[in-house]
Amino acid sequence: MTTADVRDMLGLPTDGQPKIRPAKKAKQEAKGRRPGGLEREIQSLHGDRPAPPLSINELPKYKEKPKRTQRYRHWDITPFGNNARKDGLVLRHWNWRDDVNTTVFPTTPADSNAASEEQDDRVPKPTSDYKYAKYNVRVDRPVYSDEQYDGQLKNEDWSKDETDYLLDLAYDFDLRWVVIADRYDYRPPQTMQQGDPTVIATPPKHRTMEDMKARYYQVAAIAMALVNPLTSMSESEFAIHEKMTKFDPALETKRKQFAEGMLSRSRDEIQEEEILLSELKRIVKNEEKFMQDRQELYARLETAPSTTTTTVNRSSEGLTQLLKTLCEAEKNKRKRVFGGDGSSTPANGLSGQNAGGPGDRGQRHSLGGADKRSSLSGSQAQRQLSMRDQLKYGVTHHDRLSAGVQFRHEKILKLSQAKSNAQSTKINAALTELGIPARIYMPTAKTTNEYERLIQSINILLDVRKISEKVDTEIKVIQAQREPKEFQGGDQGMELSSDPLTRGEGVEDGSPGSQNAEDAEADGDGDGDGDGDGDGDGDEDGDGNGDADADAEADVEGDVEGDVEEDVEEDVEDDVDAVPANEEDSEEDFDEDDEKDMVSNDDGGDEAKEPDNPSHVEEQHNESAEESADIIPPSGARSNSGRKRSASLMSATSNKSSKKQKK
Amino acid sequence: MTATLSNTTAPNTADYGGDEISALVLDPGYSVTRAGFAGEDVPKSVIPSFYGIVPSLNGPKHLYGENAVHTPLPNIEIGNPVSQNGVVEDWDTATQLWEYAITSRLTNTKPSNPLTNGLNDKTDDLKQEMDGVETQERPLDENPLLMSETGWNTGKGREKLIEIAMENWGSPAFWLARSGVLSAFSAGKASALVIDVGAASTSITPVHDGLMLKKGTLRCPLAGNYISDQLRLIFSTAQPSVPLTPHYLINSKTPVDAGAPAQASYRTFPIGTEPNPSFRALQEERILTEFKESVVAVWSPGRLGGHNQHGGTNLDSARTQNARPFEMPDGYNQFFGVERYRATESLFDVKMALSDASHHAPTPNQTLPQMIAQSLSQIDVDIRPHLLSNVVVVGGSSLIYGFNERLKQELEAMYPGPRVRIFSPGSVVERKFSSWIGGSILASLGTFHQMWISKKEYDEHGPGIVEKRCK
Ligand SMILES: Nc1ncnc2c1ncn2[C@@H]1O[C@H](COP(=O)(O)OP(=O)(O)OP(=O)(O)O)[C@@H](O)[C@H]1O
Ligand SMILES: [Mg+2]
Repeated sequence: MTTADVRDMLGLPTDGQPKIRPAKKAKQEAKGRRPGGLEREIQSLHGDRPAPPLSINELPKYKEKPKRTQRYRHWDITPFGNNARKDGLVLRHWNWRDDVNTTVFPTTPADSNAASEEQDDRVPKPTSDYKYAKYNVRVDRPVYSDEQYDGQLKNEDWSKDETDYLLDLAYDFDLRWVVIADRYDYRPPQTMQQGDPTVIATPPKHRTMEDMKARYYQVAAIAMALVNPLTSMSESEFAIHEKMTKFDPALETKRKQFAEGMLSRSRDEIQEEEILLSELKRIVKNEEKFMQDRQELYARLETAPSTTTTTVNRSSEGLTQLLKTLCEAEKNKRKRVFGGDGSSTPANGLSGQNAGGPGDRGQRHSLGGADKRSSLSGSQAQRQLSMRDQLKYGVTHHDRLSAGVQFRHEKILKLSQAKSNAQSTKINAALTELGIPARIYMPTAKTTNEYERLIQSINILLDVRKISEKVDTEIKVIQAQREPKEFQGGDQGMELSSDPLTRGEGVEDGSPGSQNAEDAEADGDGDGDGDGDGDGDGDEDGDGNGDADADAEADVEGDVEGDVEEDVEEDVEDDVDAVPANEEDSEEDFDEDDEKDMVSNDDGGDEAKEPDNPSHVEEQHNESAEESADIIPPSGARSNSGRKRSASLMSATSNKSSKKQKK
Repeated sequence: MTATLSNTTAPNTADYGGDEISALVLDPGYSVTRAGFAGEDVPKSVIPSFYGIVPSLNGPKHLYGENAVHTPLPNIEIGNPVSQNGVVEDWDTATQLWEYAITSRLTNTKPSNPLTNGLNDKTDDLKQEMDGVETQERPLDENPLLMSETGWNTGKGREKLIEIAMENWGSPAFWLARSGVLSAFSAGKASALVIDVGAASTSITPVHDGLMLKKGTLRCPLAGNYISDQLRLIFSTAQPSVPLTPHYLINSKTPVDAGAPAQASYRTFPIGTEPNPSFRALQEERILTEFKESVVAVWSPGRLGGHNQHGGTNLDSARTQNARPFEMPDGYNQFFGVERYRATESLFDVKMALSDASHHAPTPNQTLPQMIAQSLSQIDVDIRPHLLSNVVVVGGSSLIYGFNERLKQELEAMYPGPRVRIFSPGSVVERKFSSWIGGSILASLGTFHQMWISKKEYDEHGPGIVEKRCK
């Protein structure tokens, strides 16, 4: 009977539960855990509630038994010898029974338990090391024979007897010189005093610690060399030997005098010294700051080889990123200079280095004043690279450069595509005739150049052929007109009629022909140049617009920047002024010159500033496309031009950043 | 100090270099003799170095131990084998006293031989055998002995010590260590400047790498006994004078107001049986020690004879403040102000010393700062700063309140440059027993067991070996 049944009988609500469920549950529970000693009937009377605590079934908890990892050990008092001793003294200590191996008795250890008088008489022999015997460490005493002493170790100040005494003492006290000096009490041997009355007159000399050390080291060094000649000494041995031979007692005495003075300073002296020390600390700290500032200044002036990798800069995204970071670094730097914080970071130094790249220089001039001479003088001030290096680093000099990035493959494409379609097909035909693909597989700078020349030559030849054809037809026309009047055959005419394309035969024919051809080529070169010019002009037109833009900007911003720059320079100069006097003069001279230069530069350099960077980037890009190391050749020692460069870069970058924002 | 290890785990040899061989350590001082087993924290046997002499039928009889010394037996006289200089004078008595210190508490009292326990003392022929038996059962047959000695102990004295240990006590091994060095060890230092202010002498011991520096070791008599004498002078010259009556003379007392004359009934001894004045002196000393413990202090900051920052003298400010009450055994009680500081001031400032016909004033060189300066000037300049930053102060009399502060102050005034650091055990026991504790550490080190002078070596080389070995 469950409570549910009772509820049913009494007509009470059943809590909305189905009837069967609780019964089942109760059954399960009863099955699951039936409290001990409870009749099933009673339990079912009680229902599905948890049973009341009729009896507490908890088992009493005792403290846990200690867990023993090992069996108890039996301790014995065991005698032991000590191999650090020579007299075989046997002492007794408590030891584990299984650990009696320190001493082995003629009898078994169990027998030794019942130690009787007779057993004690037997002297146990220590067979294995006493565990503390290994700490018995002594110094080596220098050894020498009498002959060796007489030969090399004689010293009129030290008798052999006293030397021996010193060495013994040093051995006894393990070279603790403080103790040796404290205990040193040499008395000349009695027998000598009796035999020789003069010896009595000389009292034992007072020896200072330095005297003792000097003598000991002298003897020890010589004895060491006797045993082991210098040449066969190991490195550490030689170092010891060197140390001993270099001992200078006079210096040591002096040092001790100083130490003594140090110890006996009065309170005032100490205070004064403390003040002086703190002052010195301050000065040193300031100096450090100055040095740092100077270092930063130099870092800006000097360009060191860049060590950053260029892999990130290969894509156009990377390039814009690089530009941005450069601008930001420059900005930060400026901020810091104004804020007076002198610490320089490598990133800043880098931006400074980039500022001084040779590319800048050329570009600026090419777009600014196009003054070839000044650009030349400027580049001469930089370190000149050998031809090989220039090739290696991919340095190229341009008289003028177009704005924007140029890719070589574009250039090649441009070359092969002439103005007219007919021309292009002709060029292509010529190329196929020569077996050169229209698209070069390896467009290195050199191949591109050669390609360019080739195309130019083809162009020239095509032109020449055109002209010759024209002339031919003209001649034919004129001849046709003349023929009726008079018929004449001319050598010259014949020669002129020779086709440039069949010139090879002409060359075979005779030298004059080849000569001519060469002339023609030379002309063509000149023409090519002219063409190039023309192209360039065309480009420049486009650029010109850009320039105008840039000029306008420079007018607005460049002036401001220039002012700022001057401030910066002045700031730096102020700092430099505080540098110790001897350096001050030169620095100041330097700076003054510089500032003049800079001002003049600023005046005319406004237009030059803006285009600096695009071309710079172009060069970088070119180089990365060429897969050559992007190393800007370091300019020479810091120079005025270098300084100008850095100054102009500062404004240039800021210009650019502002331009970016505009866009 | 060696920690007691749990018995279930093996000692870690890396950090525990102990190897106990049940060696005994004996540290005799002028006032107290300490003995115990090496490796223990405190000496088990601490007895007064004084002994009682009572007349008996077979001539004067010596009594040892705390009880014997403080009981007013008829005609009892008090002696001390150690002289006021801290060196042993009466070797025979010293041997017996030390033997008492060892045998009374430490070495097993073996079941007494019926031949020697006095019960069968009858015939003369047995006496021969008895002597033979006695030589066989000597107190230290199984225990190596480490003894402490003063830094100024003579070569003769040292040889005598090894003779006693080897021949009288039959020790299998022996070692003699300077108490200053042992005190440095007890402070856990191998190099230190040890200042031990004991009863009969104050000693300065520079210790370098566990070796005493002889030239820098100095002794002066300004220690516990000197302070007691200063107190006696203060009491006798006070207006009215302070009575110093020991306990054994008081039958009963009634409480009196501070400063009022004592009202007590005194004990009288039959004529001819009064204890000797030396007994009274020892009992007075006990009161004075109590007085030192509870009242006496060392003035600081500055000197007692100097001026404070308000312009007044320190003497005046000592008079007006910090007075402490003390009650004598006879009930006399008083507040002591400036007297507290007066007794100790001359340890530092010789101008403040009290003297009379029988108590000579110390010389300026005997004050502590001067002694330390002299000691340091004798040793190498390179280790002086190190020693000054490792000053170990031990000894019962250094327990006087304010002693360490004053010493530090004096040292800093003398050596403004180097850092002065004073290491002084905080507990009374460690301060009083420092040299014994150091000996306990040393003699229980595994590495030390190669140092012992064995009986065999002693037999070979004679007592002179102690000079060669115990440096
Ligand atoms: N709490 C304390 N305050 C002041 N002095 C004390 C105190 N306890 C003991 N003394 C004094 O210390 C002296 C005993 O010190 P200690 O035990 O160091 O001397 P000692 O080693 O027996 O003598 P010594 O070193 O001269 O041979 C006694 O003169 C005693 O009066
Ligand atoms: Mg002492």
